[in-house]
Amino acid sequence: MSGSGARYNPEITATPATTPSRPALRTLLPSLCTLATWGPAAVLTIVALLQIVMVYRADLTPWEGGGFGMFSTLDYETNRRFLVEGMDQKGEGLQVNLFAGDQRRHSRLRIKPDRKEIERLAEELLQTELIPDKQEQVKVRLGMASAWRLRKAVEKQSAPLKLVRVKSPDVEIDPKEILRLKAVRLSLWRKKFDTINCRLSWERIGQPVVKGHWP
Amino acid sequence: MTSGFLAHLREDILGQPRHLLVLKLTCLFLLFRGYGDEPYLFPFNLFFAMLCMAMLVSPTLLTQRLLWGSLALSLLYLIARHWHFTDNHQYLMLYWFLVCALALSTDRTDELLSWNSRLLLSLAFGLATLWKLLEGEYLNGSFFHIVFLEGHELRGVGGFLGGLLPRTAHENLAIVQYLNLLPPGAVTATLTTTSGVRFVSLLASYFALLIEAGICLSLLCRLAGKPRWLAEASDYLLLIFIVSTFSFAQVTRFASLLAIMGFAQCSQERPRLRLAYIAVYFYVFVSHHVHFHFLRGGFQWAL
Repeated sequence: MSGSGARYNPEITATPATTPSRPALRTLLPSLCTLATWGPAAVLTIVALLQIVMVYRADLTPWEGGGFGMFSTLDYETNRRFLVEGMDQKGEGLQVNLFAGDQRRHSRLRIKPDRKEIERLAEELLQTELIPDKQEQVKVRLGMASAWRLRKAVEKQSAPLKLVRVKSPDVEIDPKEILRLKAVRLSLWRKKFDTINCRLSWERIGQPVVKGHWP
Repeated sequence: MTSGFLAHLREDILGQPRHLLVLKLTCLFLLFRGYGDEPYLFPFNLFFAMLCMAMLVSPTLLTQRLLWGSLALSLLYLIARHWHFTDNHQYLMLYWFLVCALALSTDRTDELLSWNSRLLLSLAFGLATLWKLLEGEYLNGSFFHIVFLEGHELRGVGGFLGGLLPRTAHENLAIVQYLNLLPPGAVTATLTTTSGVRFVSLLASYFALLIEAGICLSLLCRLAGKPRWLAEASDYLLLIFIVSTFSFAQVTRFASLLAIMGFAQCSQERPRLRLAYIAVYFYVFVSHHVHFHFLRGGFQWAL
């Protein structure tokens, strides 16, 4: 039938087909044909509807979740970043570099920010030993010291905080340099592009999560 | 002699039942490209490769619905476990393997493969268009604008066509890299663009929107059977989309799957179009290793 290019009619297909070798299957055939005709498309539609709900209700990135939103927006995982501001025991402001932690977990949270999981992450950060992230600080300084046009193009409204990262067990460091937080604030941001002014900026997603005694 | 060989090849390819060729192309795709590139997928890719090799060698195994069902179940497991990191084409792979398993359970395999590929493709392209409209970044061209200015893969193409100076393109990249080092929040970065880049961005955006909406509509018309002129345009639109998009963007698994599904729904009365799908399928295979790097290198050299 399809060989001649004729149109497929699901209603005709729903009639029982004869397969003498499998009598048990024969009784199932009408439902199997209906399932084969509409089943995969129904699954696709249900998954896509769930994805749309999750994007608008739970800040899931449109790129993921099976709704065919890839390449539709700049709002994808690598354009989302966590800002982790901390306060050490002396009350000094710090910024925690999450790049040094469990990357897969952080990626998952950037794709779909689960508030309970972010609160758990914040609590873990309060219990964790932190060390100065000298490598990252050098990179920022090098960036600042490069081309004049680059310095002119990037506008900062606040002074950068001291960068720290989670201490991994294999790192040997002077115990005096180890820091602990008394408060932490986590917020998720996404990159935005203003095409008229050709300007990149950040937009916060949802409310920040605060743990500890934040002033 | 060459024409004789080509005629023989054509007869050999198009002479066999369409659904068998579709199943073979699907196995070949999974054998060589696997499900994904992440290291944790290696055992699954190995399992898929062994299964597909056996199915390609044995015609009996190729049409075993249980084997296709086990492939679909494996993909379902992977997606359920790692849904945060699952790409669109991997969902489409699951639906396609499900179609193969279900279609092989009936005596109307070929018709069901054809029907489902039209339905799934029209839904996928419809949703892709819907997202592009909802987000609005295609309507003002901002998606391609920033991709041409900062995107690593397409920067060369947009810059070349839009007349962006190489020095400016490198400065833009340095600005974006510096911005990524700074904490997000009250920080902005202004990039340099040209009217040419803006124009190319808008052109690319509307081309993508129109062709994706066109594929969705034409395939729906194909299912409905009218209007005929729009229904018949679906194959041309799909082929143009695969070649134009995947020559530049490195999403070759999606392209291969689109070519297979395109072939599955292509009328047997149109042998040239069916051959075009096969050619595109192998073009995508080759482009994954050669063409993309060649094109990208060419544009970067020109810059």
